[in-house]
Order: sequence, then C-alpha cells, then structure tokens
Amino acid sequence: MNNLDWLVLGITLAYIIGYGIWKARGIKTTEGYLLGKRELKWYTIGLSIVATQASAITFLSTPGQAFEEGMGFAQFYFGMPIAMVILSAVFIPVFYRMKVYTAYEFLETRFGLPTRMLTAFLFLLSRGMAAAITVYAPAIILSSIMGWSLNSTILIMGALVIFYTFIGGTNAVSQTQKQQMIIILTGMVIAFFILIQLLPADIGFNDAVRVAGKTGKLEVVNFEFDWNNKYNIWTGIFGSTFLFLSYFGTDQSQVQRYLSGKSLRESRLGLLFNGLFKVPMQFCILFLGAMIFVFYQFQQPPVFFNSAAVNKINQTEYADEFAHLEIAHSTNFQLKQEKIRYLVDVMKTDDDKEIAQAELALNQLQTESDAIKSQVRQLIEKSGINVKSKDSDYVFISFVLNYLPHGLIGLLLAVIFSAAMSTTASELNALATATTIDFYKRAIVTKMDDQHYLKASKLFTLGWGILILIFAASVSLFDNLIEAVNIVGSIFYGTILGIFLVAFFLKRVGGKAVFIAALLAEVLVITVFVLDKYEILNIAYLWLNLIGCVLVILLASLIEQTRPTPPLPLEHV
Amino acid sequence: MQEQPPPIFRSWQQFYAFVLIMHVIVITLFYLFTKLYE
Repeated sequence: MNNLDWLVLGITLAYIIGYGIWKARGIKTTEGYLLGKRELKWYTIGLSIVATQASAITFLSTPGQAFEEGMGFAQFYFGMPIAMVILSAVFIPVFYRMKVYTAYEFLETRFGLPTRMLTAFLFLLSRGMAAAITVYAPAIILSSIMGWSLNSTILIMGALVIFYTFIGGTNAVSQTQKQQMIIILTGMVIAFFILIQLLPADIGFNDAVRVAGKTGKLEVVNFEFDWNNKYNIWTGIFGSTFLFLSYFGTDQSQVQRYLSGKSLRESRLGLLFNGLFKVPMQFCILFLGAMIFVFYQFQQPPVFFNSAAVNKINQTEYADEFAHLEIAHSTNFQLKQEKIRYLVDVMKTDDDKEIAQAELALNQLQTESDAIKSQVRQLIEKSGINVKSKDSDYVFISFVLNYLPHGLIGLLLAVIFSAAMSTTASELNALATATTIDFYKRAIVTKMDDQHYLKASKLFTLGWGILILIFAASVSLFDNLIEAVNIVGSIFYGTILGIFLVAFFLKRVGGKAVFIAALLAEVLVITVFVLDKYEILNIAYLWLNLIGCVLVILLASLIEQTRPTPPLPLEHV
Repeated sequence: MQEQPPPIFRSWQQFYAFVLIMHVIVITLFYLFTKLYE
C-alpha cells in the first residue's frame, strides 16, 4: 500500500457514503426510514439484493476455493432462480397486500403473536451473530496480511456502516449498495484482465483455460449424487432452493430490500434479476480463481499464502524445518513448470496418448505439491501459531497485493471494504427494523406518535451497531465461533421456512398446531445435527434446511388433524 | 397498471417460464464448458 492506494481507497469509500447520505436526505417518517418511502426501482432493488448477499468473504474466499478445489461451488447457486420465481409468485404478493414492514408481521395475522415473536427472536439471534462475523471475517484476513490492528480494522469498517445506516436508514443502505456493486464489479473485471496480461507471453488465454481444465479446476457441473457432498447438481438444485427460499423469503435483511420497492412489479423484477445475475457472477469469480491457479503454475507461489503466519514461524524453532519445506516446494514448482509447458505443447498436437501421459505426470507432481502444503500446515499448527482462517482465503488478496499496480491495490481493497459494508448495512438495518416493529412497537411501547418510533428506530440502529462491533471484536477470543454461527443459521432456517410455507399453502392449519410443530421439528433437526456431529449420521449442513422445513409442514398437518378446534380466520390473508 | 409483466411478456407466468428456461440454458452451457475442458 502506498499513498496512491490510500487515496483511491479513501476517495472511493467517501464517495459511496456521501452519495448514500445525500440520496437519503429529508426522511421524516418511520416508514421513510425503514422502508425508504417505498420508491425504489427494480435495478436498485436487484443490485441491493446481490450486494447484501455478497459479503467480503465472497470475494476473498471464492477465488481461493476455485484455486484449491475447482469451480464446483458454482452449483451451490443453482437453486437461486427457482427460489426467486417461487418468492415472486407466492411470497411478495402477500407481503405487499398486507403492507408489512417485516416478514414476521405477516405471521401474526396468520398464526397469532407467539409465532411472530418466536420467528423474529430467532432472526435477531442468528442474524445479530452473523453480522458480527460479516465484519470480523474480512477484518482478520486484512489485518493479518496488511499488518493492521484487528480491532482498528473492525472499528473503522463498522463505524462507517453505522454512520450512514444510522443517518439515512434503508434508503441510504440501498443507494450505497448500488454504488458499491458498481465498484465491486469494476474492480473484479480489472483484476481479471490484469491477471490474463500477466500470463507468460507464450501462453495464450485458450492455453491457460485448457491447463485449468486438465488440472481439474473447471468441473462446474457434477452429476454424481452424494448426501455428504454439497457441490453436485442435485444438492445445488434441491438443497440450495430451500436455503435461498429461507434466506430471501424469511430473513428480514433480504425481505427489507424488496419491500422498499415502488410496486410489486419492481420488487419481482429486482428478485428475478438477482436470480439470473447471481449464477453467472459466481461463475466469473470462481473462474478468476481458476486462472489465478494457472498463473501460479508459471510464477512461483508462496508455500503458504498467509504471509503473517510465515513471518511468525520464521521466528520459532521450526524455522529450519520450514525452510526445508520451502526448498522442496521450490523444486516441485520447477519440475511442475517443465511438465506444464510440455502439456501445453502436446495439447497443440492433439495427440490424445501424449496428452494423457503429460496430464498424469503433472497430476503426480500436483499431488506432491499438495502433500508439501499439508506438511506446512501441520508444522504451523505444531508451532502453536493460530492462523484463524483457511490459507485459500489469502490466495486472492495475496495476488492483488503482490502483482497489481499501485492505485488498483487501493481499488481492490475498496472492493473488499464495500462488500463487507454492504452486507453489514443491510443486516444492521433489518435488525433495527425487526426490533422496532416486532417487539418495541408491538409489545413494549404501543401507542406513541410516528416521531417517537422514528427516533426509536435510529437508536436501535445505533444500539445494534455497537453490539455487533463488540461481538466482532470478541470473536477472536473464542475458538470455532464462526462455525458455531453458521450452525445456528442452518439449524433455524429450515424451521422458519416451514412456518412460512404452512402460512402460505396450508390454509386450514392454525397457530397452535404450527407453533407445536415448529418446536418439535427444531428438536428433531438438532438431533440430526448432533448425530452428524458424532458421525452416527453423515449429512451435509445444507440438507438440514430441507429436513426442518418438511418436518414442520408434516407435523403441523398431523397436529391440525387431531385438534377439534377450528383454525384462525383467514379472510385477510 | 403498475403490476404489468415486463414488455413482450403476456403474463407473469410467461416471464417466470422465461427465467427458468434461461437458467436451464446457463446450466447446459456450464455443462458443455465442463465437458469441453475436462
């Protein structure tokens, strides 16, 4: 980072925040603050939805994931367009007709207050913790590789978000997200073109793609079904459809994005835009990672990308052992480069037998390379250095810092900051909305004027912001907390979606039946999760959503059939 | 009317079908990409 990078980073962030606050000026009502006067067009909603889901980790980890394991992760998004169509056809029209502020508000009219309170509470619990991770995860990577203080990084990132979300509410969040997405996409496209330019002169783009294919990095679609493998087309289509139905249909941080649309039409188009845009976007980010892999076949990569951990191990008694592994890595790289160039040459001859032999030799060297890396990881663990994050998370940022020209490094850091801030802003905005609408205004202080609730919304925004920062700063004190937060998300999501689907489709099921069914389903989901933890069952997290959802629907139907009393009236649903 | 489907589509159902067909085309292209470079 030099002065030019700092200047680019500072100006970009200041412009985005200034634009958001300026666009959101003159808000005088609670509705204006929480739903942005309901005046957004479809493209703002669409970009806002994409920006909310794509956090900094999307841009830091996803290229690293393709670098390590190939592009199969793209399948994780195959359920997205299906979920968007179901939401547009079923969920949004009801939310619009009832003019709700939060998704949980709708549940009260259908099932009564306890169900609304339960789902809103679960949202506050899981999203409040997840928001802290949204800030913490990029902060730990940036602070580690840039040599910044972790708490200062968290504080700066968080304070900027709280500043514009507190002042401008939902409108500021959506307007800044539009600008943030433009910065993010521009930065990623520039990084891709520079990467292609940096390939050796005798290696064309097509050669690079073929090398990535021969080394197994371009397997985007995999038809083999496996309960425990989350990256195949079946898990992608069925498992992720339910995950995205839960996330976009029942998580207030997304629901609020499209409820602020000018009309039902704009909201639908915004969601469907997200459905069509997100899959190719993930493909491009993963493809960038696969190309970084090819780049590092011709340019020697570090044996461990987290340079802070390397500096630390060189200060310990394990430094000699580490140096030996670095030499082995370097020798392996030289041999691999010869084989790669040989492979590129024989690919031009189209001699299948020669190509297969070259591929085999290369794959053997790649296996050796992976073994050396694995030894390095074990050595770093043995030396007591806690790296807190997978090494593949450092692949992209390490490439940016070492190979991009100054100025663009600042722009790519602005991309990472923008992605972290856009997600956190939506989460903060939604947490404040659910607290104000579902708890404060509904059950605590119920009969005050609009100005009172506007002030309360602002204070809840500030309060949640401070809470998230405190939580983010304390994450590093607990081991495995990130995993715990992800687990909390996947344990509750399916059940909440089940409650919503019963509300929409099973009109004869009443509030009591669904409440009991949800509690029972939750116990069963946690049981499945525990059995998986102790390896009695073997099931990917993604399926927990589907299990929870189906259980709520089945149990609610069964319980309703055994109850003599009629359900709640439904005329207004 | 505010809730009209996008231009050239006669109903929302038709537009939803268009979105899903586009998705199938994208997955097919990904599959061909996988096969082409394997």
